[in-house]
Amino acid sequence: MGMRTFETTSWTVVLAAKDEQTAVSRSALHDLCETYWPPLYSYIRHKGYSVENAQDLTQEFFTNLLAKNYLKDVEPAKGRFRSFLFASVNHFLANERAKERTLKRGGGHTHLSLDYSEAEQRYACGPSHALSPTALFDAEWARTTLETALRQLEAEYAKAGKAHVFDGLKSFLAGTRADLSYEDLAHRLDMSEGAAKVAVHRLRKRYGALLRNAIGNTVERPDDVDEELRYLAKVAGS
Amino acid sequence: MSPSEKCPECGAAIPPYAPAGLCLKCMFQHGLDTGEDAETVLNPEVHEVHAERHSRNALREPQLSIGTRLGVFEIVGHLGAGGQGDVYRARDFKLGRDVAIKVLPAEFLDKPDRLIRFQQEARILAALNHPNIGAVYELREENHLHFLVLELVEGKTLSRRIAEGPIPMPDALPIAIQIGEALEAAHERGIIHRDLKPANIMLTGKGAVKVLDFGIAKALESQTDRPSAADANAATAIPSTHTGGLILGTPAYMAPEQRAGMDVDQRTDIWAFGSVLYEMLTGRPLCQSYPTGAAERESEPPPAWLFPEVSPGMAPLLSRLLTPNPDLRFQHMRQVLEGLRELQPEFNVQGEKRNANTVPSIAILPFVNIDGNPENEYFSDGLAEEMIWGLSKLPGLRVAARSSSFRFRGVDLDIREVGRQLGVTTVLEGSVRRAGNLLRVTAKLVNAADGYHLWSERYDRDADDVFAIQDEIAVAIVENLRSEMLDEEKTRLSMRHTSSLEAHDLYLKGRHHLNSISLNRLWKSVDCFRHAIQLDPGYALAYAGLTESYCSLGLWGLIDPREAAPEARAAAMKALALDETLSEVHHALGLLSAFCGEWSNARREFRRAIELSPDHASGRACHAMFLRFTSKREQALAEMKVALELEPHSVLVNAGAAYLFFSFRHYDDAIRQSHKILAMEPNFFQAHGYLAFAYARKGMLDKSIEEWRALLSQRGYKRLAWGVRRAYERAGYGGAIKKIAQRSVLAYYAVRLLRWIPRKERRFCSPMLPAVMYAEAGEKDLAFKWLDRACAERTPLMIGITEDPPWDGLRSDPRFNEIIGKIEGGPVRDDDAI
Repeated sequence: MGMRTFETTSWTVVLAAKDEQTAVSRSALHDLCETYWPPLYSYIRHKGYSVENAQDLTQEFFTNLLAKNYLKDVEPAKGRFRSFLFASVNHFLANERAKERTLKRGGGHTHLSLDYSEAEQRYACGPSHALSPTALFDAEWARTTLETALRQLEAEYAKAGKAHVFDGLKSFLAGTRADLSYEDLAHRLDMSEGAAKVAVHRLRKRYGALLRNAIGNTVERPDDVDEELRYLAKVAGS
Repeated sequence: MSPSEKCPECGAAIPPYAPAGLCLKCMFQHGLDTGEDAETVLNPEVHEVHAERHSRNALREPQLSIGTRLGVFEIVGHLGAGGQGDVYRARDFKLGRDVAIKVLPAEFLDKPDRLIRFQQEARILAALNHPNIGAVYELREENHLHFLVLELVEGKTLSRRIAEGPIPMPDALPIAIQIGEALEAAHERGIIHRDLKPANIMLTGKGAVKVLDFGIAKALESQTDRPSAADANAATAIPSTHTGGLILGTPAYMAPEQRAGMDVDQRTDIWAFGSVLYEMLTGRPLCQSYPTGAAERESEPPPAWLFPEVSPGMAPLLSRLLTPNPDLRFQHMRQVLEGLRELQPEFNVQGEKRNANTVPSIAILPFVNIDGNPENEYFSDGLAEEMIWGLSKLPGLRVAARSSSFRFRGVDLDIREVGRQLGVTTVLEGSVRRAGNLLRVTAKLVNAADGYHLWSERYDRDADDVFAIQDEIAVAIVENLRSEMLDEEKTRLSMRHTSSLEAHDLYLKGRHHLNSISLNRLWKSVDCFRHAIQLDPGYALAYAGLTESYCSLGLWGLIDPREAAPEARAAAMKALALDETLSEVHHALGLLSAFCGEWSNARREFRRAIELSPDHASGRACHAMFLRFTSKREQALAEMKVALELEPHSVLVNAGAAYLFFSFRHYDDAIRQSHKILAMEPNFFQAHGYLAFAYARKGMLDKSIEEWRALLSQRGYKRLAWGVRRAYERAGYGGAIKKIAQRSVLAYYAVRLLRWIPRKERRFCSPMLPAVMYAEAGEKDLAFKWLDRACAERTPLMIGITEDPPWDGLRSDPRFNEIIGKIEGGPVRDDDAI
């Protein structure tokens, strides 16, 4: 997913062109789908579909989504990508149960490169399976959002030639560590203690900004970010 | 902070699946904080205060201060705090040594009956004497405190080591083996750890491993507090609805049955061992939701691809360690240790594989299918397979066998490590993307010694050009690895067996299904080969594949051999007529001939296949099994050895070796070989059969019954597996085996009565199954009755009864020679094998 400014997020670009998709809006939707497909896969699996069927259905859902204009029915008031995807997949699954699946599934119309082995592992290792499929979807969504921001942060550090700094600091993202003092951290990163503290602070700030950006890409209005953040924070620990 | 702890910031439990082991709530809070205070600059002082506050919260005051005397002991340091009490370093003035002292929870004072029980447990633990187990010296009471006196083990915990990063295989294996040996020794005494986890394992400075707190969880039963079950790394006592008691252990390492409050046994520790091993190799804990979710429902072993980061040899082992159903898991640590020791030579720097080889060598990894459609995997695999096939025919170049290099599919491993494990000087890797008729292939040749690229190329072509791309890559490889390439070799490389891309595609798909050990996919291979033949009736390889498919369907009992033989024969004859220069065609003919008892033909065809392609491992394995029925035992063993060297990781070749060892009554070798197969492919149920027979012959009847049960469970006969155990307890080994025999008779008749079931869904049951089970049960009359029926039905490869151990009890009976006389093709004569 690209690093767009908030005013023109992926989802707003997609929504703006919902009546007549453009190359840019298609690309933005593609990016969003590529980021947020794992929660959807977990959801389908948790609905009781086998590995093979879940893979087929995920692929087919996205193939249809990207090929057809599903967006025209999105109501602006309910304009979160998460809600849209959730409603769409339920609609899709309901239809799917009613009809015989055709053999052409997955053949020649692939638009997303989906790593199912990773997705299956995620599903197996994901939040508690005691959750309902809906709650699992939300919890997985929250996890995916965090990972997206974390990956971007890691990529930024790597691009700046500071991958080792990121590795050293990342465990401080969620607070201080009882087993590692700033002095030890500074020693490990070959910097002064003060510099280590500054580095941790910068890391957290940048992470926070990237997280807001990632969420911003899935909601329609800037005001929605905090609400979505709070919602995801609530469901994340499920 | 290591994952699965409580967050020092907000106190919330951190689930094991949290990204990078970080607190999910705090991670979101950063987003909110950033929004509210985007321009805040760090105030180091504030931050420092913050840090100190958390440090204070993280540690609580130890119960005893330094210098406290407890009888002959003096506290000299605080080592740590756990859910079961504080641990101190103490000086034993009487014996002049330092010890660890674990102070028991205060509840002991109020509940004397539990204290007595604990004393009994402690005595059992004190009897455990093993170099890899932290010793329990005694339980004492001083100053109204009850405490355990333990061996002081200095070093660092495994959890601390893992926090530094994943442990490479060569280092992880010796650690795992020592942990396994500790568990094995304890299990032999009936002691289950119940709380094995990295924090309970110490690594000493001398490379030794000590497992601590053996059985302590059990000993402390009912005395423990009940910490939150969400605290995944703390030893926990969870109320059990099943037993009405408490579930003891640490959630992150608990086996599914332990979490469910069922009875625990040594297999519970085996799961925990798998979790620890996984964490060692990946640096991440195996999440606890995994066993309670999909995997538990399916209860099958998790597929090896769930462990993409570990070495391919280790993945199947982990898969069987972490099988949710304890009946399908490894049953004993001994089995686990055998699997681990098998892996050790691969990672031994002085191992055979490291021998310098002057002949250039290459491993061609399966091309990565990056179009996202798993259905196209056969194509990317096929590209690599064809190149292996083509290059292995060239002299002066050693090519790693398919089954060896394909172990690295999807494994994210440094190329140098891949080269090291396969013993090759170069590695070819690449990717394939298909979109309609467009094809993008990338390939790079890497020097395994230093990881540098020797050559790389990207091809953007029409899909029809795939053959040309294969040729270009092959030529580039040869030119990079050898100084020159003869025109004749180029011609040989570019030989094509069909001009139809679609037929070629289907052939690759068919081979893909045939090479899988899944019985269900054999019919798919038939469909693919038939379709390929429709598209190109001159495609000899497709006919050869079809022959093998039908022979396999007959041999594995999916169809009546009398139906399989004519289909296989027609295809084989057509293949021969089309191209008699192909090794694959002669191999298929050899299989067909053996299938039909035409020994002389089988010998000739296997020989011819090997002449045409000396590296044809399956051909050599089949030839070895054929030689087994002559008096040429040594030749058979030597031929099988070559096959194993060529394809050490082929399940089918290894299965051939297991059979050969068993047949020659080398039972220990057969057992070792069978465990190796199961470590590679836990679903290969035949290996349980070899184990069951071999253990029975060694007089290890308990083990034999366990293997029969494992085989039956794996085949879906779980109730029967349970019944076999009961029959064994009531009526001994013979009674248990008779029960299996009776069930196989039912299966035999059932498939013959249920004719309405579509052919492809029907499972044939050979009369040899009741025959061999009745022979094993000592029911001679019934065994002969079923052998007679097997002869009448022209069952393939009945010749095995002349030599194989299960029939030993029948050979002195005059009826045995009558049966031999009726076998299709009769016995193999030595001159058949000349």
